[in-house]
Amino acid sequence: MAAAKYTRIKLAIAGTAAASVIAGWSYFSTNTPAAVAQADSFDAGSGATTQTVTSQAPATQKVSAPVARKTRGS
Amino acid sequence: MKGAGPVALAVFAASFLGALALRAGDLGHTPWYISRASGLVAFALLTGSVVLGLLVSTKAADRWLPRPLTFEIHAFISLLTLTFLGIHAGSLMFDGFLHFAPGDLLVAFASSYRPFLTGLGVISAWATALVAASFWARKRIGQRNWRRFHYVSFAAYLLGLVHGFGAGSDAALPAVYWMYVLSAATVAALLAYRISGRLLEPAPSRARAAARRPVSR
Repeated sequence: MAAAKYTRIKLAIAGTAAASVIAGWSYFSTNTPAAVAQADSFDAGSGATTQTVTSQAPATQKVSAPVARKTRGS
Repeated sequence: MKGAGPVALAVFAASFLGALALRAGDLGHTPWYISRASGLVAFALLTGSVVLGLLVSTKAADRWLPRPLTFEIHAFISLLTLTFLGIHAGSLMFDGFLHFAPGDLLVAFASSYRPFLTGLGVISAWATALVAASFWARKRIGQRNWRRFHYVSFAAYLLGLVHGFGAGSDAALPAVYWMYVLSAATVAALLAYRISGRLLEPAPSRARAAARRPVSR
């Protein structure tokens, strides 16, 4: 009886952990940080990201600057 | 550890088959989301394992939880932590942004992405794996050596905490931040309880307790 009880507890823990990963996956996929969009423009060839300045700036002031270090969502 | 093997094997097989299926399609950011979620779950499980281990060694929960149950769940959660660490690291191999190679995930400080903090995570994972494996080697290496080796789990926990705080993308989220804080506070409190208990316990009492302690379970 004890072994069955232990197995049930273990399955409950494993199930909760697996469900938490799925919940986290769902949460992160719908709450993507803005930085992820920036990371999308990562240029694998040059190892630099392209940053576009859009706030309070005319359309002609599009600035592309290399960023030395990979950053994403943090 | 009865029943732990099939459960762990099933989770591993599901993860492996899932990874193979995912590799065939356009994954986008999916591996990264899975890696973040499984990393947080792995840390929560690592905390649970360390806390249960401390509850066993301090006997603090003996009034509410039978010690064999606490020990059994402690060992199982150690194994489960390893499984989710595998998902956490393995999913990064499918990430289209970071392009982790197996070597980056298995060798500490080999990754070009935040090498130091990622390296701490790799060391933590290896230490967790060794401690989890030691449950099976307990009889072979002896109770005393096994207990001594178990101190590695504190290093694994600490490195995992620094890795999560430093390299984790979600440490700034309030829920994640407070999980780290609560985890560290709980482990620190139980550790302080254990150390103070050892220091305050008279030496002859410790010797008697050591003599009574069974060599194997």
